[in-house]
Amino acid sequence: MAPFAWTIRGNVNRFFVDAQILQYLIVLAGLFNLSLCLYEDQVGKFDWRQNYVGKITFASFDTVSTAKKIIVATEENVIAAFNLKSGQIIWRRVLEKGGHIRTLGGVADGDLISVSGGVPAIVRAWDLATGHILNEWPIAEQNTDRIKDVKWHIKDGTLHHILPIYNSGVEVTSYDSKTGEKLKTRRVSAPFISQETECVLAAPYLACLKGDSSLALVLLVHLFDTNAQPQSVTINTIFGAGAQGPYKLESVLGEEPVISINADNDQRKRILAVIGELPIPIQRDIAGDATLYVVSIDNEKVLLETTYKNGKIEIAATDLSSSAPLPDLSVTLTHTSLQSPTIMASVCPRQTKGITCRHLLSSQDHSISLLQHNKLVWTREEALASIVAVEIIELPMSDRDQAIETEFDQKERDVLSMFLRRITSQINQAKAFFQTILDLGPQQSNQRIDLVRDKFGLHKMIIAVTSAGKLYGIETRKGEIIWQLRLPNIRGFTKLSNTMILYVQRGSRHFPHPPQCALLAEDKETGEGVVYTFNPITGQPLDGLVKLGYKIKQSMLLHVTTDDFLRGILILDARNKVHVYPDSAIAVAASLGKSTYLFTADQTTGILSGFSLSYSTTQELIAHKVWELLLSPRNQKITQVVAKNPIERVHSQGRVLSDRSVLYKYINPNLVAVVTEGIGHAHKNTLNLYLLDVVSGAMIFSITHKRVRGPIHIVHSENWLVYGYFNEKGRRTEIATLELYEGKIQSNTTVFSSLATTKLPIVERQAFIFPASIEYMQETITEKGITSKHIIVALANGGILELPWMMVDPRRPTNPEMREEGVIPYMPEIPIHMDAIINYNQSVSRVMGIHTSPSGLESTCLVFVHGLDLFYTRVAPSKTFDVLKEDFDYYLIVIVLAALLISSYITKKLASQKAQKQAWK
Amino acid sequence: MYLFYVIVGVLFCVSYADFVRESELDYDGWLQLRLWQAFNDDPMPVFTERGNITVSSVRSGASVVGQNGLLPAQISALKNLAEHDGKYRLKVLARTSSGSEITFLSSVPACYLLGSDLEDIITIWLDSAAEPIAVSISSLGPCILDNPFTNMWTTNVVVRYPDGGPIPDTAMYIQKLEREREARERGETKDNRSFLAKYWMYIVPALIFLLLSSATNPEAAAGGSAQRQ
Repeated sequence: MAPFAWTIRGNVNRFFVDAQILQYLIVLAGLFNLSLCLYEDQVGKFDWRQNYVGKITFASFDTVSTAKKIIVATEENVIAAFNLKSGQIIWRRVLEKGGHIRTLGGVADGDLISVSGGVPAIVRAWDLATGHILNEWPIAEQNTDRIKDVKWHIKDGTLHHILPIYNSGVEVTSYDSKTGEKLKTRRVSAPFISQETECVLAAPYLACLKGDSSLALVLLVHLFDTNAQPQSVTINTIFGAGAQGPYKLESVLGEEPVISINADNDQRKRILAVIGELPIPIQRDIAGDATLYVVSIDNEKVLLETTYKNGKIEIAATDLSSSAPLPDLSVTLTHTSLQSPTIMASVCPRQTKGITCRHLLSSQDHSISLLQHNKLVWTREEALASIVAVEIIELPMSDRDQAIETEFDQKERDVLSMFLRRITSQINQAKAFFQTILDLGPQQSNQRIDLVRDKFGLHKMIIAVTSAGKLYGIETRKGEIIWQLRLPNIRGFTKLSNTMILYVQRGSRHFPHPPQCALLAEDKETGEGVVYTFNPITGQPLDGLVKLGYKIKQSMLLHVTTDDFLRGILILDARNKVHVYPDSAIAVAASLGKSTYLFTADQTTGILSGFSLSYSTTQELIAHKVWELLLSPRNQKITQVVAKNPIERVHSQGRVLSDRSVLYKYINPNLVAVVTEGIGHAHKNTLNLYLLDVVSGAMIFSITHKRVRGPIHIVHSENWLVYGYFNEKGRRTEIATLELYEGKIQSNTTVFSSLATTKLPIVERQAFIFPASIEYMQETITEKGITSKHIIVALANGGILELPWMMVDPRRPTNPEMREEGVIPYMPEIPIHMDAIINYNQSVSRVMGIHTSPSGLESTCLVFVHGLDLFYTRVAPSKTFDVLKEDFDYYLIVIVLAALLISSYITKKLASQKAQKQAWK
Repeated sequence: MYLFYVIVGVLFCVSYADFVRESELDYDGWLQLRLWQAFNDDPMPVFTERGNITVSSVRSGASVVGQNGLLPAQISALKNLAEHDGKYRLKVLARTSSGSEITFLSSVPACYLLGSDLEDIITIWLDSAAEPIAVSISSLGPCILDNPFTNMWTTNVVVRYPDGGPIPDTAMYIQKLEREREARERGETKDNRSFLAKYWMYIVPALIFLLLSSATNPEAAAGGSAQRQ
């Protein structure tokens, strides 16, 4: 019996031990089932997100809630609340795309009402504390053609819709702002209003300017008093005699009915204040470029004049009626991040210490700052909400590496001089070493210590150009802004939907030459081209702003560098003349002339032309037209012209089929996809895609989709294209892919020539249903092109999806019998896996672009998403095959290796001993 | 006197039947092309008349080509152009049945024309409204600087129009699923995989379990041996 009991106990014991092992096994199996997604502790380790709101149009201090904050509405159609102390976003609501917020009000009464859109206008009531929407109702517009003249006013929970009616009066319709109930409609008589009359709202008045000469009149109509007669003030009573037109009427921001009138070509202005029902002109000249704001302090009205001169901001406060200066409230301040600011909102509460004013400033570069008395509390760089061009470039080497580089980077190879250099550099190294030991060495470095290249090239610098003409250098580790600078008087190319072009002329690898970037843009006044060159690491200008004196039609970066590793920029001007920037690159450009081609596409005329530079001499570059074709603007409109990424490399030349034969890819670097959308009744809702060889001018392929609608997002890479569109018939988003193959024989094994290849490629095609709406698409790129390609898709719901190209492979077989290796059978719908959303819960709104850049690691691609928010992360499409895991056990492998080595040595010895013994036997 | 006027009727039947799944061309019409050529080795082309092409039906691609032969002076100009690695330029004025006139420019390296004995391919690309969008010249080559055997053009005219875009193939997929479901219902799905292939997911854990339990239970083994002693 005893042994039996023992066995049972043993068995139970054994069972427990086994259960434990099983548990471990399950955990282990779970670990091996690695997916694309992040672990919780990896959140924010490789990625960062920054939220922005855009350029503000309306702002208001919320002083009624317990938590003080600032409410803003912006050009991007966003309503947000900022923390008063830190400037951080408390809440943000992104409204519909393309809409405009017409007015924002009611904050003083503890509720927030916004009116946005046109036909119909949408009125929303918001909860101030949380930003939740409380109510939403539309106003059907009666006169849809006069939507621009409609003015809105919110007062005491009532919303007034104000529309001047020509030669008759002003129609004021009032609604309850919370429920949308129509309260009453009244018409105030103002027969002088005609189409030419300029009117501004200075509640409760509507101020209109009639006439243009010195006899001009400013008329004030009280909107809420139907019995009141319009009051008129002549220009002469405001300015005195001698003021010259044209006059410009403006309403002064603030709660009071004050208007300003500009005269003498905006050289000076005066204001007209309504004090106690009577319009009183203030007889004091104000500088024409000053911006005004009226704030009330203890029932006293104070006028704030903001002027900006030579980097100095001056806010002069005066009593509105008496014009007596109030030096206590005036501020003079110099700050680099403030440029021509305007007071958007101001509040001056009386506290125990006295009156302290807070001003919310909006600068010309779209930045928002809070000024408390004369101290800048915080600044937000809202220009980053409208990035137009991005480059990601490598950081330079550390000072030590640079010293080594200088040692070896010498042109003369004389033994003695090299020896001397070696000795001096070693002395320098020794000196530096002792200095660091004794801790007295001055930091000679002019760069930050952490801004150096890392081992894997993962730490880089993002250069962002914004539509406000402001440039930023952002490091990628934390998203910190390293430098910023603003170029006044530039704008994006109007023909290119206001984009600017950023070229990297020299990377960071050519020490001692500094890296160089060039920005191509248009001059704001003349529309002619400008080039601005700068050091992308420090933000220092190199050649500064160069005005080119001609309009830029096309530009291109040369692929061959000059002696100092600088890549020139070829520019084609509006008269088809070619220029090179800088001039030193002209010899290089001319030597490449025989093989240099440019092409242009004009959206308005539909003409596409190709130019060759083969007749260029070393003195002058001559472009002559070699092909021209016409996508008739009567039938279609060019919406996109997409070339491949010039730094892309294709690693594999073909694809192995199931019968072990190779299907060669058609890899034409000169291939450009031109997308047009049909116009007119018959061709509406058609999408055409043309593949064009821009060197020979030969059309390669064309495809038409009927009953589909844009916006079209397209990715062109290697030998394939992926594009997304909306199918009207199926009412769904679809993704179509094209893949180009040369066939089973490769026509050109060494180098591809567009002129020698006449055979058209085989085009594989397939379409898929995509169960989400697409905002932008971009492919991943790696250094050598070995890693498989993924497509980064920005979705309308704020997610960023990493879609393997394998999922949209047009060779996915519909017939399961025809399977090829590594090809998934066809399924009409592409599933969206939540673990392929690379920004997990960090939603991004209004994505405008995605920039991908290779890192130093072949497996890893850097992704920068911009729009209203910025998001940066890195992706590894084929997993991190070239990096060891972070928790890799180095000791274990060393011990194992050592043990193996020793054991092999010992066994060898033993074996030889044994052999010896055997031999003796 | 050296002028030859040759009419080369090339009936080019577009053999697309296996290639284009669906013709996106809703209209048929004719096209008249007038051709001018430039041999000069200069950025500004000097065009001389070459001939004309009439495409009587854009849908079938049937065309008639009428063009002059080359004069000896023109051939030497072409040779000179080829020696300087220059391009032969062709200007085309296309008139369509809808009455619009469109000018196209195209070019081909001159040496390719010499190498192929003045054989060229003129490709006319139409958009979905049957309007020409591109007329381009190409030649198979090779790039040779010898005199051509003939002074006559051999011109092939190809008319191409856009393919229909792919649409997600839902019908077939649903059919496939239906078939599978029906087969499963009828129980006809004969699983002809081997025993191992079918049940490996049960066998492998059991094996591991067995292996581990025997390997990591020294006390049982020790106990066993102790008992035997």
